[in-house]
Amino acid sequence: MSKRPFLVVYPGESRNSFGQAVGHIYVDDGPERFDVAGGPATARPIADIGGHTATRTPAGRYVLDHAERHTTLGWPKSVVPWGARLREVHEVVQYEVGGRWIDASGPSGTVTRAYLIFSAKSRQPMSPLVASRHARQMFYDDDGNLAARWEGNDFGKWSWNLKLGRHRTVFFIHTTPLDEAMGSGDLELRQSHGCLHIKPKDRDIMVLKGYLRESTTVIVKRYEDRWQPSAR
Amino acid sequence: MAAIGALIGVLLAAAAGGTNQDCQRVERGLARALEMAQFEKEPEETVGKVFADSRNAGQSCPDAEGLAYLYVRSAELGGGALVGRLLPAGAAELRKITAEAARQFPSSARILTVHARVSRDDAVARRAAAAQPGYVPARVALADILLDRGDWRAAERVLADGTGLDGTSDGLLVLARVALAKGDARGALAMAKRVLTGRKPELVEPDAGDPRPLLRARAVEKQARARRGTNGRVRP
Repeated sequence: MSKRPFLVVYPGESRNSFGQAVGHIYVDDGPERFDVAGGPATARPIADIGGHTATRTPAGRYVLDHAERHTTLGWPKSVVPWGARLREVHEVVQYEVGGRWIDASGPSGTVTRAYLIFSAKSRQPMSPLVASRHARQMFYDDDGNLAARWEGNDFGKWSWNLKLGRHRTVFFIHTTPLDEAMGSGDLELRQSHGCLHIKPKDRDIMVLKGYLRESTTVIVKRYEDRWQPSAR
Repeated sequence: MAAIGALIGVLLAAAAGGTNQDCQRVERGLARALEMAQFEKEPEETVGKVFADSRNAGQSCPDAEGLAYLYVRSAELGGGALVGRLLPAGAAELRKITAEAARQFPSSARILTVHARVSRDDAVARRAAAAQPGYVPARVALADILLDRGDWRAAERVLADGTGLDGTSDGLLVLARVALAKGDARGALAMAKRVLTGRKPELVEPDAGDPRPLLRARAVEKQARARRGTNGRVRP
């Protein structure tokens, strides 16, 4: 029986063209590796809008939770799962989850609610009417066409939570919507606000090879640490 | 976002042709993306994309003021670095970008406003305010620069009745600083609180959730509290 692979993340090994700290994920601590970008290499968390913070991806020994289409009310664009079908009924945008159609916009829409929560936490409160308008517009392009499916979730197509022991954390491994839109094109990873960003094509490879799956151990090193072949 | 990204890609290809209509479509798409960035988990990606795409599209659409504005505004917001924290191109490069745009569009209030903020040149801020008297960010930029030079009276005059300041990223903050400068700790506190709680969700200039005004408002709040405390002690 083959040994289960583990992943070691060195988040601060190099810099991208923006001068941001980026790094690599090493499979079984190397030499096979993939690009990764963690949070900003600042000593203290940075206050962010919506009641959030931007922070270093904390060093530690994590375990991957299952692959998921992550959703949260914490960010308006992350309420609807990636790939969910969309439709509009009586000027209310709806999305489908498990055969059930859910209001996204409108007075009782989930995205409307997320906008209200986000704006309240940002201390720039908006009215339910404005929130609903934002919630509806989000799904339309400039020509007034409703997207067939939602492909704007901040957590990308798939994400994996980094669990500490049995407890989920606020940190995920995921792609970004813009990187997903680039497809297999050449792209440069940008710093996250704490999660670990990976490239969509690397994600596909890592899934195929069984690296990204539930229960995989992920060791996140400090930003100052550098991978060395002899470190194994 | 992917849909918007893909659409902008198509539009960029169209803009390479450089017809006025194509340029306007690209501009609309990028403007919308930048406006929505404030609600994203990591707005830097969108800001970076707007920065790069507006620069590229601007080459095919040299007369498009809107694209030039998006270019300088996204540069001011970090151009893809953590919003309001780092300038990847560096301050000198940012000044170069905004100066060039201001030269190219000398009557654009919004471009001149960005350039005034970046260059800290009150003459540029005055030109911006004169170009479009109703454009509040221009008056805010001018007041901010005057305040930095110690002339709070002039800054106060520029902001006049204070209308529309809650629709700007930093207008209320400048008013709070004016109050602090003139020794009105109570007024500074009240205004700093309005920065933290009373700005409109839809701002005149998209700010991608720039945290700087909030952080500076907290600093003003702290200073005002300290000053009020001091005053309290010396009062009979």
